[in-house]
Amino acid sequence: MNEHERDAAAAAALGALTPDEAARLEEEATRNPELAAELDEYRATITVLEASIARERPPADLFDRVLERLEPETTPIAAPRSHDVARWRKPMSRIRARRLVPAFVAGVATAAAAIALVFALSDSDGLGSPDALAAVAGTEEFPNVRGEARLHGATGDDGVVVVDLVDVPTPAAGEHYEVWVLREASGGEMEAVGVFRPTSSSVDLRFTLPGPGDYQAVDVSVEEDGGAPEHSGRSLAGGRFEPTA
Amino acid sequence: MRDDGDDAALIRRIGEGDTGALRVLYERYGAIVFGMALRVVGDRQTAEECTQDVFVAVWRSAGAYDAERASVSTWMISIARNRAVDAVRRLAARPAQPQAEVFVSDEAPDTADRAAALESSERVAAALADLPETQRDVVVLAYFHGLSHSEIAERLDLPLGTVKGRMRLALDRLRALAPQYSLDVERQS
Repeated sequence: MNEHERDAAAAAALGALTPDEAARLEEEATRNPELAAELDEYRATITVLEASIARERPPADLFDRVLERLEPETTPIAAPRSHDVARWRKPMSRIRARRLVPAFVAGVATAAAAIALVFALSDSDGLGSPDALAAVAGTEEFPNVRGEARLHGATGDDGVVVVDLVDVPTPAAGEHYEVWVLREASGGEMEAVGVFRPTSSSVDLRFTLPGPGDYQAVDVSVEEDGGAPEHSGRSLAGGRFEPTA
Repeated sequence: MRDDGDDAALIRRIGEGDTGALRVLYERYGAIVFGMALRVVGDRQTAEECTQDVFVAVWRSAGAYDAERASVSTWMISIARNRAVDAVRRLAARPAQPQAEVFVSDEAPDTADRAAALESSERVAAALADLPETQRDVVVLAYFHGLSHSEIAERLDLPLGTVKGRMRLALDRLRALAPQYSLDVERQS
């Protein structure tokens, strides 16, 4: 390999070649293993510079703009696989899940709406970056439901979960929805964090978490007004949390 | 720089159409992608457009990502830089006379990230400061401002060959300095 090629490899790693020059060098590298190795080495060297790139906080709505651009081409979010749903539901069929809100009194549909107003806040402004995110997808019964759940401050005493959903159907008469979370240390027991009855197909909810923990999943169940405190076993949607950092 | 199999898993999920995974990736790398774009284009509006372009590109090309060629962060920063350079050339809107300084942000997403970013950034700055000024200038102008070798030659009034030679010498020197400054050279398998 001559000095000219080494110079070109360094310039390519720095992104300083024109597209045509870069393409020619790449082509040459496919025939010249020594050049290819040098190019790789310079590219590896360049990675040390990544640490000095300034982090600049983008505008708050920038990701929404990305999603708007994707909207026409967005592949529907895959619904939870059946075994995932089973994993969330099975414990509730044998373990009495705790409720953190009072059980409903039979037939008091208005109570559900009132509680929803208490727990459902309009947005998550002021919460900062979430600790974890879950892509929430509808179950087979409700395939159009989709959205996102975000955990904020989940390792502290004042943590919240924000649940944004779209295409939420109006619950049938005598039914409402309930939001549940699953913590690592809960022994498979999901914990209810709040209830809601949507007034439109889009909901933006914020609930207080039951305490600090490593939250694994979120689930939205369909419940009968005044029904048993356990999870009904019938889910509207759910998702698994992934840490954001 | 965080990057591990977790990122690769996110890319796989994005390739399957999971916008939630794209959101997680954005939370991790949105600030550095935006920072890179802003660094090159010099104005926030164009940097915002570039940042959108990067995540749209990731969405569309996630299936083509090759973990053996580059880490996810390196891949995204490379896309960001290329989009920003394209934007500058397209709009002929390069900021006037970029200075060859090392840039340290005061807007890291949170305190822990900021502290880590500052620490590693300071080490990079120290390593760059250890380069001869003539070599440091060409690296900064190329990498942080997106100038091509011919643009650098014109800006610094140097022969093209001299610019390329200085780039090579700078990278050779930087490679040798990396262990001394505890800088990770990210070799792919």
